[in-house]
Amino acid sequence: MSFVMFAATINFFLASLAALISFGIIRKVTGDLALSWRYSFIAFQILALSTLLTAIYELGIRSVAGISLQLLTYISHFVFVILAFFGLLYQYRILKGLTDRGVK
Amino acid sequence: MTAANLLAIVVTIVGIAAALIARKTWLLVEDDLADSWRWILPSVPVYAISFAILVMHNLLQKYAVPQPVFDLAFSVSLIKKQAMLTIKIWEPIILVLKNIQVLVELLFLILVLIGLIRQYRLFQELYRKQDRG
Repeated sequence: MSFVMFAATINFFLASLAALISFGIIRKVTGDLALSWRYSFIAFQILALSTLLTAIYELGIRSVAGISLQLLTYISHFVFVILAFFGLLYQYRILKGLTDRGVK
Repeated sequence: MTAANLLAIVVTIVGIAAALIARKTWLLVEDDLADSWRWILPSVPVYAISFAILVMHNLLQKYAVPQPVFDLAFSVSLIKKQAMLTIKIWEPIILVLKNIQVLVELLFLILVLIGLIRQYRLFQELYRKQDRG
């Protein structure tokens, strides 16, 4: 097992754990805040998938169904970062709305 | 430049933009929530750095010289009973960069997990208080 594969496997478990914790938070909150955490729940699942793809790439498998595995990894990272971006933006708007209401 | 490399560059840029939003959120909140955001805040640029390293790794791999960076050869011949030692190091920076990238990604996930656990505890506490009230 190469070092990259070992680290990618650990990353996979950590990302899965992050997704589980996000799911736990979804169950504790309601409304718009729950929706913003749903973004992070899906985002961490996709990050877990991309780390898994990295580990598979390190095994020597270069393509799946004719699509480059490296490209698939980057696409999943791209989806993750877009979801994380909009999740953070959504949460920022909620918190800004709450603090504005608090100021008034 | 391949589509994969272009995507990696876009991911880095969006990661930096997400880091700016995380900073703005951190500035908005106070007390325990600010503490949890303090862990999530550095994690986002760390992720962007991890992808910047990956972009660098891919570019170096593409434009790397096809010769070893370090070449050491040692030869002893005692009437043709030869002993030979050859050490060739091929682009060690590229190999190290890939390792650094996964380690930075690991650091990102550790930071995110600490922040998430803190937020989970905070929301759990709020939920209990609400339940009692």
